[in-house]
Amino acid sequence: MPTLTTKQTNAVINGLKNLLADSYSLMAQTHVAHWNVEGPHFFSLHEAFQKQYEELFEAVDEIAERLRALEELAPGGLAVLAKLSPIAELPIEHLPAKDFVAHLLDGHEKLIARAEQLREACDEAGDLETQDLVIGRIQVHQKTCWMLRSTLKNL
Amino acid sequence: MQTHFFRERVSHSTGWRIQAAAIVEEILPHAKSTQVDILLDLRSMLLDEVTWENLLDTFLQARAVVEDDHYMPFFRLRQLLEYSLRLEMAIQPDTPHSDMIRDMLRRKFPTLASYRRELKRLEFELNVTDDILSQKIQT
Ligand SMILES: [Fe+2]
Repeated sequence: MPTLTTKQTNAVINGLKNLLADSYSLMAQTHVAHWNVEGPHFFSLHEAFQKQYEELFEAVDEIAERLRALEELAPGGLAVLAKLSPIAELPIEHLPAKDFVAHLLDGHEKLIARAEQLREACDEAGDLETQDLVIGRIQVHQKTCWMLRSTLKNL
Repeated sequence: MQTHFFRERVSHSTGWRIQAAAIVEEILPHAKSTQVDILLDLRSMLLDEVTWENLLDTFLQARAVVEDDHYMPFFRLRQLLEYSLRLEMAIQPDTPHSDMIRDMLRRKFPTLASYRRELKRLEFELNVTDDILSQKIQT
């Protein structure tokens, strides 16, 4: 088995930390959307957002524990994770329901873009176990994007 | 003299306008025939670097006609405009309060003129209320 260079493992570690931060940020934003969404589609959106943030809560744990398995400490705390993620915060005000969906869709797309870079970094480092986790996460976010895009059409 | 601050803002402005024009271009092949003209206007205004007032007015008109069919691209355009027009306004003297841009983009005004009319109406109502209040205090 080829030995990994420090550069290759660093790319995987940093990518995992970014994935953790993006997932955490999206979880928090989805929770805000669950609370603050309004309008005739309230019940269906409120419930859909709950399912999404519950799934993200479990994902965050899995990603953090993968970092520990690689003998790295997992970053944590709102301020630390916010600095690591480019996903914008929802404004706390009365917004059209469509804007909550659009904001989250934008966040999921940003997460996927960075996760795809991590998937490549895992490939270069030959870390198939982390790559497996990342591919699974990308699939979940792609499915959520499809659901959010479909929701946007009928709101 | 053009300061570093000014040059930085101008180069930022060019970058975001090209980015916004690219979003408009992505909508064009899927646009209805009734939406094409206003989208072409919006794209050329972005690239011609017209003043923020003309650009905003055209954006609002395009939004009224196209947004329902293409919500995500317009959501991204709104985000770009909200951030970048505020920067552009900040370097021009005698511009109105920059919160105006945010307000307009959130509250779906169809034109810049309709937003200004609404502001005048609110101002008038506030003055009337102030007058009534001051009369009450005096009596
Ligand atoms: Fe709840």
